[in-house]
Amino acid sequence: MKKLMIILTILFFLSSMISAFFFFNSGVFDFNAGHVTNDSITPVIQNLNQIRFINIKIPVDSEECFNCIPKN
Amino acid sequence: MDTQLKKGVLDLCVLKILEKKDCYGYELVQSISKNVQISEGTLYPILRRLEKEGCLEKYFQESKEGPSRKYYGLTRKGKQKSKELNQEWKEFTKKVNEILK
Amino acid sequence: MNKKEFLEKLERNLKGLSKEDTKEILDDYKEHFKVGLKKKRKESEIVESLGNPKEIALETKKELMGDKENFDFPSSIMRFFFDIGRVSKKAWKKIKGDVSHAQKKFKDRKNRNYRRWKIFGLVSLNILVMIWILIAFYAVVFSLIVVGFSLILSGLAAIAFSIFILSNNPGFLMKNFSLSGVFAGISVTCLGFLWTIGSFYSGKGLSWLVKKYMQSTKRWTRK
Repeated sequence: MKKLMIILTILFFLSSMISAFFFFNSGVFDFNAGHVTNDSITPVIQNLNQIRFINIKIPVDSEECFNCIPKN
Repeated sequence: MDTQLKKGVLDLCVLKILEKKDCYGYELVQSISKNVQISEGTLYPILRRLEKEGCLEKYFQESKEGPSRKYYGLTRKGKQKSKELNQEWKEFTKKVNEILK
Repeated sequence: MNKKEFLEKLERNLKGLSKEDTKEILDDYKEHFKVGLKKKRKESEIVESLGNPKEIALETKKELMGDKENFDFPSSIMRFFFDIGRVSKKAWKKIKGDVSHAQKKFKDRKNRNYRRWKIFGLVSLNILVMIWILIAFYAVVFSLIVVGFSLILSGLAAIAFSIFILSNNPGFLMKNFSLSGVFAGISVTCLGFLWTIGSFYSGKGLSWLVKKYMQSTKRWTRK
């Protein structure tokens, strides 16, 4: 039982670190702003829209995008 | 005989008997239950506990009367505990005898 | 009872003991029978001399489970609810006994009714408090476990979701993002398991506290 708890704790720390690495590496975190911004998250939402996982209409600059509203 | 008193004493008896020589389970149970009024079944859990505490060690030995039997012997810790319990018993009985005078 | 029945009853009542201990104990008794029968004793006589298998099992469990961290899942959950139930039933009986005992004591005619009601009031207040404490205890433990499970489930969902996105072969950003999701999911799942295990331990701790409280109030009502 104690072994299991140690393994789980190590796994927890390891995977959080790896997850953080990929997260910061993905470009979703806007380093200039210091947090996730609207612009940086839109590609994610677009992608999710494309694979029909979610259906969120977001305002985007580009005109060729699925399920989005032009910004103006 | 009072059960609580019996329980405390059984550890002492088991360890003392094994101090003299290694015994197998049945033999040990018989020699104790002959003298102390207890049902034979209550000794095996005690043996198991003493083994877990590290006072006893178990080994298998071929016997002439058939298949190999489980033998119990004292470990160094067991010998130490036997001495301690023996000492406690002597002091205890001395004090009780004082009161009973 | 014959040897088979004895061993079966013994095994049944040893439920809750670790597999290793159970096997060792049963082997001990099996060998005892073997040797006894070899020495020309009758099976029924051996069974009788061994005693009641249910009592032996209870004693065995007491001896061998003293300080062991026995984490046999379902039985430890059952055990701890039974413990609480048993303690509360005992407390209830004790209180009822105390009430009637106190009633008998006060033979004074003049004050009889007044004293009876006073004691009855004190005792029922105590019972009420105990009931609330038990309810609170169950609520806390239950909610801890629920949180643990939801963490596990959300972690697993995050992993599944992220793998699903990855399977669609996305671009660089999404790939990293969903990999991040996979590991975040793993991390949350681990947290969930740790939390659930922790909640069982805290449940044990709380039930010990409740027991202690009940013991102390029993003494108080005696006064």
